[in-house]
Amino acid sequence: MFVMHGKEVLERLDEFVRPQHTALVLVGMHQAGHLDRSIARSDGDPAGPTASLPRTVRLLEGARDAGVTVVWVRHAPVALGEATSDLGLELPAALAARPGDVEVVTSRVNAFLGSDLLVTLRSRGVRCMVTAGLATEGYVQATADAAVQRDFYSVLAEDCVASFVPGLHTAALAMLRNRCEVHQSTELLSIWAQSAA
Amino acid sequence: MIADSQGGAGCGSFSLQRERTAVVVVDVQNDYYSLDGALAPSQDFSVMGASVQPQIDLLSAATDTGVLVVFVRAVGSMGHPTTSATKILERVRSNQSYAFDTPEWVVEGTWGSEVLAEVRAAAPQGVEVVKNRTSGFLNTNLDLVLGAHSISTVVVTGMATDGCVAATVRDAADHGYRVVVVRDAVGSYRPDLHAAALEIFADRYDVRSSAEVIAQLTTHDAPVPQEA
Repeated sequence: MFVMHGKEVLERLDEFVRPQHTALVLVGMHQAGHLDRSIARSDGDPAGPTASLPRTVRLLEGARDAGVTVVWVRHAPVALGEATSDLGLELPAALAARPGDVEVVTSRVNAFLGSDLLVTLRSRGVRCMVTAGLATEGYVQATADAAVQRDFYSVLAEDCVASFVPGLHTAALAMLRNRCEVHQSTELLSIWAQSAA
Repeated sequence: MIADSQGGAGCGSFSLQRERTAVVVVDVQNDYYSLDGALAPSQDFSVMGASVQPQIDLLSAATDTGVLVVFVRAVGSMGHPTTSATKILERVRSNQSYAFDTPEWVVEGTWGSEVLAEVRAAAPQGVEVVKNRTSGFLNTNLDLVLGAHSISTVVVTGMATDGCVAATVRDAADHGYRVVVVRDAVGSYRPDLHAAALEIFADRYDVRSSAEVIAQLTTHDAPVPQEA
């Protein structure tokens, strides 16, 4: 942490993701109701997304053990009869909300728009948002970048995000490295495990 | 309507209704573009430099045909009232990664924060919108200005392709606008991220050249405006 212009600025990962002020925000983690082009496309390859899910489960479990706020973003259309798509792959049973978790519904790609996400995070004193889920160039990029703009420390769990198009995952990740703090889930789990001990 | 369901539409027929279209010029300001500005001299200007004339040409066409032009200007500084702790961190980090040789840029009220003169002159009737964050829509009156003119399509130019342009484009789609990104009229100090952003844009928005957009704005048989 350093002080500049009268403000305390956090600068290390363990400062950013302190459980007391951190939320793990999971996007795209539901079967139906998807509105974004990045989900279940006809030219998509589910291999990357499927491979990311066990790591996301471990990240979720570590977050819960440490007392990190868990937020599930569910996408649902506002217009009656609006066409939606299904995720197109099976989610592990462990990737499900439990009592104490928060659910936010949005009709936009950016989870902060058309939802209560901002006031939900602020009312819980959240200063840092860790983003995980699908798909990298869709909900993930829009939401993680929106968090930066809304003055959250924005951390991306690099190995817990994926896309149905590998090239777009690479492109989005390159852009996100220049905007967010991008880290492997093992680094986050290590910090959370020490705080839970 | 979720505008991004239009998908990648860079091929096939392309048409614009002048009365429902606005050109949104993102952060084309002296500090970013002028060789007398705070940042441009220390950076890779190859992509940015090439994007200036296409913008002038496009804005001239928009002015000639009465199309709304909006200049979005980023304004901020380390001590600005909207500068948060995370914004300070962002500025410190980007100062390091880009090797800017100055701690301040686009300071409110300075020449550096003004729109690049030759671009501003190409659309004298252009409206200015000031922002303090990456997206042209976040806590600004951009949506009000566009709505007041019944705009349904935003044609986006400016910088950075991977930063403020990308954020503005995503928010435009989420606000229900059809998005057209002008491929040769956007730029970044990072050619690699410029390319990455264009790759994503091409998949979900209409990416066109300035020549294609100009042709649409200046066609004399533009269709009668229809409900979107």
